[in-house]
Parts: sequence; C-alpha cells; structure tokens
Amino acid sequence: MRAWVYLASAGVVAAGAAGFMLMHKAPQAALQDQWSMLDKYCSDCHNNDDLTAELSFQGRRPDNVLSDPAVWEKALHKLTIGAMPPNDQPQPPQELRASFVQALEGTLDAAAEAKPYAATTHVHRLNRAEYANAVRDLFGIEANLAEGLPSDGGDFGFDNIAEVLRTSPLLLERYLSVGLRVADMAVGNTNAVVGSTSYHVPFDTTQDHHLEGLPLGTRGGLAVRHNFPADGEYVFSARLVRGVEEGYHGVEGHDRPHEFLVLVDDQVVHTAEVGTKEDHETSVAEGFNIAGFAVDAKMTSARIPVTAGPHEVAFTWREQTSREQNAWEPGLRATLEIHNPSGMPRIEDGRVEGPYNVTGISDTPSRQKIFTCRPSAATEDQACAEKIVTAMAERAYRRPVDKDDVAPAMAFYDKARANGGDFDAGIHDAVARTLVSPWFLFRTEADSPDAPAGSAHRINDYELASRLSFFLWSSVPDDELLALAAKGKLHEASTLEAQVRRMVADQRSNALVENFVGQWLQLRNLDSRARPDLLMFPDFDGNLRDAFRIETEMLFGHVLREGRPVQELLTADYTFANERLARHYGIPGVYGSRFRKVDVTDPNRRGLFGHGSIESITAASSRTSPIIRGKYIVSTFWNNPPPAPPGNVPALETSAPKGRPSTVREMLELHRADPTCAACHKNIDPVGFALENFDVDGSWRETTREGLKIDSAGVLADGSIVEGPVQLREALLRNPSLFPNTVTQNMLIYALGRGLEPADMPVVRGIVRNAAKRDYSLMSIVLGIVDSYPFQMRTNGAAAGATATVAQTKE
Amino acid sequence: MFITKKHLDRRTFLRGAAGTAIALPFLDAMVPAATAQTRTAAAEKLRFGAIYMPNGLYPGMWHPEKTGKGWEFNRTMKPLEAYRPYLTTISQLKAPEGKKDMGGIHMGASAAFLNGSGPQGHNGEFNLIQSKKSVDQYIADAIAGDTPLHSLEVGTEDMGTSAGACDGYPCVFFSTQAWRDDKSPLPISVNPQVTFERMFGEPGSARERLIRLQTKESMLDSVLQETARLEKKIGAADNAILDEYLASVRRVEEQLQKMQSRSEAIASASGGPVGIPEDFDQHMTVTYDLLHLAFQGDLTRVFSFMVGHEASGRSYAFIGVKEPHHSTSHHKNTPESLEAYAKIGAYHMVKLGEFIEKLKNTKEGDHTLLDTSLVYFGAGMSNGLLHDRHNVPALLVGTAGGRVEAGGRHIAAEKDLPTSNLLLALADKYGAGHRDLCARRLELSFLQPDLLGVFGLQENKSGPARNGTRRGQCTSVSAIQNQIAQPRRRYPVLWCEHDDVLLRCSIGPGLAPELSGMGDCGGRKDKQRSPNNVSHVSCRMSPWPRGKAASSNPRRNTTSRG
Repeated sequence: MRAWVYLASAGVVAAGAAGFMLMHKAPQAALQDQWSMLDKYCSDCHNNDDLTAELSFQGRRPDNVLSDPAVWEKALHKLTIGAMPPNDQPQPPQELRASFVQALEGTLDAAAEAKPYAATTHVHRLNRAEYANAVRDLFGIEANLAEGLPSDGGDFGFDNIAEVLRTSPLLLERYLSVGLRVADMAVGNTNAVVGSTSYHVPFDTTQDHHLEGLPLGTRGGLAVRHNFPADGEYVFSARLVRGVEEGYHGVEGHDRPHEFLVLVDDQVVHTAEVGTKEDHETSVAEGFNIAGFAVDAKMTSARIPVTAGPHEVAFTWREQTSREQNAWEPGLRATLEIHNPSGMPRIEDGRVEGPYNVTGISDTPSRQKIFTCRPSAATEDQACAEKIVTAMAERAYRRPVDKDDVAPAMAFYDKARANGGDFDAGIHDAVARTLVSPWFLFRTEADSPDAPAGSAHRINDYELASRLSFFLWSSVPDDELLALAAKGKLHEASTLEAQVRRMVADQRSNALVENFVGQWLQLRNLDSRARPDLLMFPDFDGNLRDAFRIETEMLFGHVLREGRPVQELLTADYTFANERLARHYGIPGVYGSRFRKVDVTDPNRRGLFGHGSIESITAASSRTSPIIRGKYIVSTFWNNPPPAPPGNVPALETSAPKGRPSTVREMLELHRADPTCAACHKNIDPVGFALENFDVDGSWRETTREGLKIDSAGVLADGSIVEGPVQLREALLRNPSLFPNTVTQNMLIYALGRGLEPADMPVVRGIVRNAAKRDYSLMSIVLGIVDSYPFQMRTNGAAAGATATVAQTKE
Repeated sequence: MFITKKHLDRRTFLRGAAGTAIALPFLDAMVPAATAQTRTAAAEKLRFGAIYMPNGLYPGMWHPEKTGKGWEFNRTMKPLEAYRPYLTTISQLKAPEGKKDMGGIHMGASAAFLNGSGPQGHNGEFNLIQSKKSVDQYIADAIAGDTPLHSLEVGTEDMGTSAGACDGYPCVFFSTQAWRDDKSPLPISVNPQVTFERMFGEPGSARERLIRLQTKESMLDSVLQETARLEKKIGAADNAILDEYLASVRRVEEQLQKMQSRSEAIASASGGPVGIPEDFDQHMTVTYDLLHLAFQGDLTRVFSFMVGHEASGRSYAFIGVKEPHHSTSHHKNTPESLEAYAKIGAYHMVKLGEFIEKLKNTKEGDHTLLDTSLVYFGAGMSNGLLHDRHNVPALLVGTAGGRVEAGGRHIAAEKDLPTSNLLLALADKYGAGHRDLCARRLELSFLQPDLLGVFGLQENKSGPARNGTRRGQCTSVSAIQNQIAQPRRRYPVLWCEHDDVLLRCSIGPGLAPELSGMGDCGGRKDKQRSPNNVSHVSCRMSPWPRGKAASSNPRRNTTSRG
C-alpha cells in the first residue's frame, strides 16, 4: 500500500504560524517543554473554578492530550488564528506561541498517523441535485427535476451529508412520480396526454436588452431546453408581466408595436405584434382585461409540429433601436415597478403545451442512449429488453449487475407487455422501476468480508468511482470511470490523478463549483438575501444578482482549472464580468451580455472581498450590516464562527444621538457598550467594519447616504487593526496556511459527505502541507482530498451486538 | 389597505376538451362541488389544522384587552373581525424554548410548536434527527379514518443549506413541525404542484391516473423486497436510514391503496398549479386553496402549514414593509416599526380570513367544513425583538364539530401556562392518544424532570415492571395527590390514572377554567375496574390550590362522584 500523503510529510512542518522550524524533539516531549504556557496565559479563565467556555486546563497533561483531541484541536485553532488569549489579555511571546502550536500539532498528527480514521457509511442517499444530474447523465434529459423533489435538509453547511439525508413518505411519493415522468421523457410516450409546462422569467429581470443564452438580435425573454415527449403538435404561448392597475406593461399607451417571437431551435415559429394602436384603443375603450385577452391570444401560437426530444425554445422580442423600442427612461430599473418606466412589454412566463396529433417518436438522444438494441422479430424482444435493462442498471447502480439485480425492472417490462403494451411501453416501465430502486437512490458501500468488524479497509474501485463522481460532478460515474474500475486500475495513483484532472476539466465539474461554492460561500442565498431596497437602489435588478453569482463561480472555476493558488480567490487582479456587472463596478470597455475575464485595477475590488455577491448577501435591504458581514467573514474565512446568540436578550435601551443622522458604526458602538452584547460582538462587528465601503448592492462608497464619511477601520480577533478590504485580505493571508486550511476543511466535508471529526484534522493539515509544495494550488487540494485516507478507506460496520468503534488498525 | 394582487392565478389551468388552456380563478373548480356531499358518511368527520406564524406577533398589538366576549379587535387580528363568532383567542400562554442550549432560539420556536419538544439533541449534535411525535399526528390517528393522506404538511419556503444556516442543528428542524413518531420528521412541501399531485396524482386522464396509481403501488411492493436484498449484500442490517426508507415505502403503499377509494375526486381533477409561484401572495392563496380542496375532497383531515420558516427574511414589500420579516420583528419599539411588524401579521389574518370564508361556504351535509374543523393559528414567540416565549398568540377557529365552544371568546390563561396544555386540550377534544400521550410522555415542556419523578412517569426501562405496573405507567396515584397538595408547584398537572390496560391523561385544573372545560377528563369515568380503583381520579382530585382557576372548573361538578 502506498503511503498516504499526510503520513509522508508528518513532522516536516514547513508552514506553521510562525514559519520557522524547531522540531528537533519528538512532538510530545516538545509539548512538555512548552506546557507552562497554559498555566501562564490560559488557566486564569480556563480552570476548574471559572470553567470559562466550559473548559478547564487543570489536570490536563501532555501525556493525556490524546484522550480529548476535540479540545486540543479547538485550542490549536484558536491559538493559530490569535483568537486566544483574548486580545485584552497578556499574550504569550510569538515564539512561544508558535512552538507550542507546533508541538501540539505534531503530537496530534503523530497520533493520527498511528491510528488513522475512516468512517463507516453504508448508504448515502442522492440529494436532489445529484438525482437530477444522474438523470441527465443517464438519459440525456435536462429538466428541472429538483423542483419536484422536497428539500434535502442538510448539515455542516452542506446538503450532501449522508447521515441527515433521510427519507420521508413525501420524498418517496415524489420518487415514484418523478421516476415515471423521467421515463416518459426518456422513452417518449406516444400516448402522452396533453400537458402544459411553464417557464418563468424572474420578476426582477430587466428585459430591456439582449440576455445571455438567447439569439443575438433579440431583447429580453427566456430560452429553455424543453423535452418534447413525442413527435406531434405543440402550442407555444407567453404571458406579459402585468400590473394591478394598468394591465399589461407596455401595451397601454404605446403606438409602436413590439414584435414577439417564439423560436424553436433558432427558427421563428410564431410572431405577433404587441402594443399596437389597436391594443391601446381596446384597453382604453374596453379596459385592460379585455385587451389582455386579446394580447394573450396573439401571443399564443397555432399548433406547431415538433419532433420528440430536447429542443431549444425561446420566447423573446425582436430587438429594435432604443428609439423604436419606445424606452422612456432606459437607465432606470424596469423591474418590480407597477409603473414600468421603460414602457417595454416584458415576458412573465413562456409555456409549451402538447402534444396534439401524435405521429410517433423520433430518434432522440435519450432513446439512443437507452435502446442499445432493437428487436427485429418478436422472438428477440426478451433478449433485447434484458440487454437494455442490464446496461441501464449498470450505469444507474454504478457497478456490475447480475440477473437478480435486473429482475425487478424486468418484471415490470414483462407486466407491461402482458397488459398489451408494446416493446417501448415495457422499457418505459423498466426505466421507471430502475429509478426507484434503492440501488439507484442510495450510494452503497459494503462491509468487507475480509476485514474484521470495526477495522478499516480500502473501498473497492466501483465505490471509489462513485465517491469521485459525486464529489467532482455531483453525479454518477461515466463509462470511462466504470471501465477503469472494472479493470481494477482506478485506485492506482497515476490513474487516479489523471482521472481527477480529466473530471475537473470536464464541464460536469461545474456541479462542484455550483454546489460547493454555492454552499460554502452561501451564494445559494443570493436569491433570498440580496434584495436591496427598491427605491434606495433603483439600479439593482435580477440581472445584476445573477451576474454576482456567475462572477464568483467563474473565479472559483478558473482558479481550480488553471491550477492557480487558492489564495488567488482573495487576491486575483482579474475577474469575470459582462457589461451589466462591469458597469456596476465601473470597469470600462466591457460590452454585451457575455462574461469574460477582465483586469481589475482597483485593489479594493480584487478577489472575493470585492465581489458583489459576498457584499450583497451580507447586507440588509436598506443598510449595510457589519454584524452580518463580520459574522460571515470570521465564520467563512477564519473558520471561527461566533457562538449562537443567547435567548431572551434584553432590548437595547440606548438610542441614537439626537439631532443628526448617525452611522451604522455609531449605532453598533452603542450596542457594544452593553457588556452582555460586547462579549461576542467585539469579535464580530469590527471585522465587518473593514468592508463598510461596500454598500448594500456591492457598490463602492466613500460616504453614507447622509453624507457621513465611511470609517473602515476594523479590529480582528488577534487585536490587529485593519482598514478596508485590502488590509483585511492581507491579514487573512499573513499566515499562509490558514486560508488553504479553511478551504480544505470545507471541501473535505463536502467530499466525504460527513462532518469532520477531530481525527480528521491531521488529515486536513497533511493535505495543506502537501499543497504548500505545489504553491497551494486549489487543484492540489482537490487531489490531496482524493488521495487521503478517509476518502479511500472505510471502516467495517460493527458486528451484530457489538458497539461501533473507531478504526483501530491500519492496513 | 392591502395590495393583495387578487387577480387570476395564471399558473392554474384546466384543459378543456379542445385542449385549450383556460385560466381558472380558483382551484375549487377542479373538484366538483358535489364530491363532498356525495361522500358524506354516517360517521362524523372531524378536521384539524395548525398554522404557524414565524418571527412572532407583537403581543400588545395582537391580544384583545378585555377577556370574555365582546372585546375589541386589536390591530393585528382586526382583519378577522367578520369571523368573530368562530374564534377563540387565548392569551398568557408560554411557548416552549424548544431547544437544548444556546443555538436555535428561532428554530426552537417552530420546532416545538406541535410537540412542545423540539430537537432531542444538543446544538452541534448534527446527526440526531429526533424529536417527539407531534399532537397533530395523535389527532390524525384518531380522526384520519380512510383518508388517503394521514396528514398534509405544507409551507412556503425551504431553509437554505448554506453554512451556519440552521443554528447548529440539522436543517430539517427548520422545515418540520409534524413528527409521525419520535424519529420520523414530516417535512413540509413548499411546491403547490407537488401538493396537488400528492392529492390527485399526476396530470393525465382519469384512467391514466388510476393506472399510474396501480403501477406505483406494485413498484413499492417490489422495492421492499429489493431493499431487503440490498441490506444483506452490503452488511447494513439495522441501518437507521434504510429502516426509515422501508417505513416510508410501507406508508406510501398504504396511502396509495386508500387513494383508489377516492377515484371520484381524483378523476375530476384535471389540472393543477405548475411549480412554485414567484409571487408570495399567490403562493399563499394557492396553498390555502389546496388545503381547502383537501378537506373538501376528504383527502386528508389534518394539515399543518408553516406560512414561513422561523427567522424568515422574506420581503413583504408588496404590502409596504421595507425590511425583511426577521429584521422587522427586531423592531425598535417605535410606533412605525411596530406598525410594520403588525402589518405582516395582519396580512396573514387576511389570508386566514379568506380560508375561513371558504370553509364556511363549503357545505357537507347539514354542516359546513368550518363546523367540523378546528384550526389552531399560533406562533412560537410573541415579541420577536426578544424572541419572547411569553404571552404568545393562540387563536382557534371553528369548533371541531361543536366540541369547542367558540363564540368569540378571549380566554386569559393562567400566566405562563405552557402552550403544551393547549395541545393536550386539543388532542383531548379529538379523543386522541391519551394512552400514548401519557405513556410516552410527549415530553411536554411543562413536565419538568422533578415532576416526572414524583409522578412515577419515568419510563421503567430496565427489567420487569415494578408492582405489576407496565412500562411507562403511572406507578403511584398518591404521589400525584401529594404533588397537587403542594401549592408551590406552578406546573399544571398532567393527570394520570391507570387501569390494567390504559393510561389516561387529562388536563389539570391549573388551566384556566374555560380551557379545563375543553379537556374532557370525564371520558372514562364509568370504568371502575382498575386495580387501584383510580380510573376516575383525575376528576375527583382535591383542587389545585391556585384559587379561582381551580374552584371554578365547571367539569369538576359534572364528573366527580364521592
């Protein structure tokens, strides 16, 4: 067995807090030498009498450190980031602190080396994103399946945690429904009843310009990839955004028409003139309801023949010059307003309804994937069906299958045939049945018969293929991974590294970017939290919010795929922007809806701290919130979340100074004058102040709305003072391994689908130490995780009757 | 005053014969009005609903000033004025903390709403998804009858899963109030389309719907066998996650079987909402419409509805409230900020009023749906600024078939009486779960550990039962009497009596007289067969020494015998 990465480098601590070497002794002996630091600087509070934070160092000795690693891992972290001792207390000399940290780290790491830890997981349910991706990769179907599945809940900040991915009757009902629906789409359904699917344009999307993803020469609207169940006729329609009082936007009061377009695969299949003189006159003479019906009718196509399978459908407008478009005030936000200032009609949703007059099923991509054979005579049906179902099950269950494995799905094939269904109907039911199989819904890992209960063993190559694909793609392994697993080669170091690099380069790894970044940096909260007040921030719209998300995702994707150091997430002198975002940031020379890499010359704007995404999710709608920002920054980047607020906090009696406007800072200083609040808030708010120059919508400001100058001086947990985003960033990067360590911890949780134990922390440090040798590249962290003991090993479940124990032995 | 955007729900279609989409104003049209009548059975159908309001309601703008009848509506509840005869509002109740430690001050408020309990684990015990079976489920056990859906859990928003989003507990606690049993959360569904399909199946012809129902049922059957094989193959016997999966399979199977008895209602539903409405008001309307439909078609008799998750930051800009809901609840004690806070509550009263109106207008035999229902609208805190658990809102709508006297009463309970008493009283009204509620303790927050000991209610977990009692039974009635004789105890007593089979709980007289009347403690007074001859003890006890509340208990007279 090859050496695990962190074992190879244990004890070669190059990048500690102090950045110098002194490990001549065994770590535990070194710890003994430094032990008095605890008495001198820590035990004043953490003793048996005071029990501050329910922690006492009394009775703890270097030789019993390992009996309570959770406490020492926490102490290690607090010492490393300078959060302890509190900055108003005497501090140990830097050298002493560093040598203690190193000795403690060495002690913990050495113990982990002797007794590595892997978890026991038998089943790990696919979450809804993984389910949808698996369906996409198995059948080539891209549909919004996640919306039909209930929320997965989650933990440790992620929604792919095995232990909390539970089942409820509701979920099971949905698996049945969604499975049948997928089978309809995948096999096609000549008996499909007429159905209607509607696609929605978010309310606050500005539709005054061309939108990314739509054909050039169009304005606003939406484009979707729609799965058509059969060759037949379909009706396409769209509805306008409509206000309460004045009816359809852009209809009343306009004498110049707008040309509504429906495109299928870039071909115009329906056009209508909306906002004509007649529309106006109808709405004046008969009211907007009547006019509305007329407009609805115009925006509904005749029945249009379309073949089965996925097609690009767009509902949009032909782009005209601003003058022709009758834009009254194109600079203002045209969204969420009852009075639409731009005066242009906007689409609220587009719909596809059908099929009518079904003629058959064309050869769709998903049928090509499913029908690996075609019976030429009735006698071949059974053999061909078995071939199809077996191939499907292998990919869906992510392992080789035997007759017993395919028997349940085949039973449904047989039943459908017995009920008079044709070959396709049989396969349809087999597909649906496969998708509710526990083998599909759960990633399973088996106990090894060769290893005793409670001992660790290497997972097999198929299990490894699944761990890899769900980590990097949030989906099932592809044929290449399964083929390597079949040959037993996947776990070989060189193969594994090549596969990780291939998978990261593949666009399926966008799932890692979206799901990991979406949760670690909370970008998933953009939709609900980034809601600047309409009147105070009239320029903010859904397009900008989307751009915020895309910018951060693209930066992360770039740093990952281009082998850049992870710190570049904070320091990048470039970013990714389209015209909308560049305008917001004041970056000149960027035109159009496409995102591209652009230089960032303003140091305040560089890296994540300059991203609108992070600034806007940490603000209230009408003001900035140093509390929310401070909490976010210390939790997300320093991995040092403040304790939860106590219950029943008394109301603040203090009030703002009378007679003049006050800054948020002044208000919060009053808040911190209260000792109950100050205990925690002194470590939260001051960090947030460093980013006060970023307004609610992420724009840069020098003064508040009332004209008061922004004071961006903040204080960090270690007492150091920072002013503005640049110094905050520098402080975070002062200890070069700190930020990589934070990223690694989060990514390891995500990769393993479980919370980290104290026994995992040495693994994290090992990965970071190795990454240090590769310039801390984000890619090396990913590779380090895949290479790690907990990623490649699992512990056998305890034998019946015995209690579970942590892994005792190493292979 | 409110801009409720009451225009057609344009996500709702009925496909006509020609295949054209017709926009429908209300979902009612999807179930023929006749359905409910034709299905009226001899047995009375009772219904129960619980509606949860996040972030609290400011008590000074919610509770009426005067008690009894004829009080004036306060600011927030005002929109319900027209429904006064159907209301009972209770003040001075105290909601449970619903959490074990520092974290989860918000989460605990909603998580304990229906079981007085909240998470069983501590903050940071991420893997422990355990609470207590909730009162709506006890009620459903009693009244669900042959309805396909034992209960229906709906909401309007999911808790995100971003770092730190869930206060140190698994996120499921934020989106769950109903617990089928201690380990089976019934999380809400926020998608009206999903709820509609749960009730009526997927779109399609009547025949198609029924065929699909059968296909699904047989799939579940074969999944059961397959899962057993899987467990064996991977060596995962006694795996909690798989066990839960299997339990869900069985439950859904049963549900689908019952569903076929509603083929009439199912066949008549030919369309439904598509996706999650972006417009919140529409989302509220469609959700209430679905709940009404569920009662009307007798698809379920019990629902719980979270109009938002705790600490919800939803924007109510559409009614002119600028700050997000959660920030608004942390008001500044100024008239303007309190008005904004009250506005949100009042908006929800408008929506509740619309729902009441529908129940009131739907006939079922000689009754209306409102007559047979009782809807409990409440919150887990009062003043959101302090996350205050005191004097929380508790509003009852309807009479549960005349079991509760409504008539526009305002009951001021004994100060800080736990809301759990109300839950028990409600369960009692529906004849629900005495045995379980007592034997399994429900861990109601007012049952403080010291009291448990005195009551002998601690589960006798080890070895054979003492003194011939059964596990979890009350072991000593005299202990109860002694306890009651001690005036310093504030906790109202969960009265216990036992016979050889059954434990029985009732509401103690610590409850305000009006509420005590609701607890039907005399239900088994005729039973004299218990070994200790104490089956009627709950109604003969010496009065709770707390003055008027005890002495004026109307039930005491009717049920005591000397």
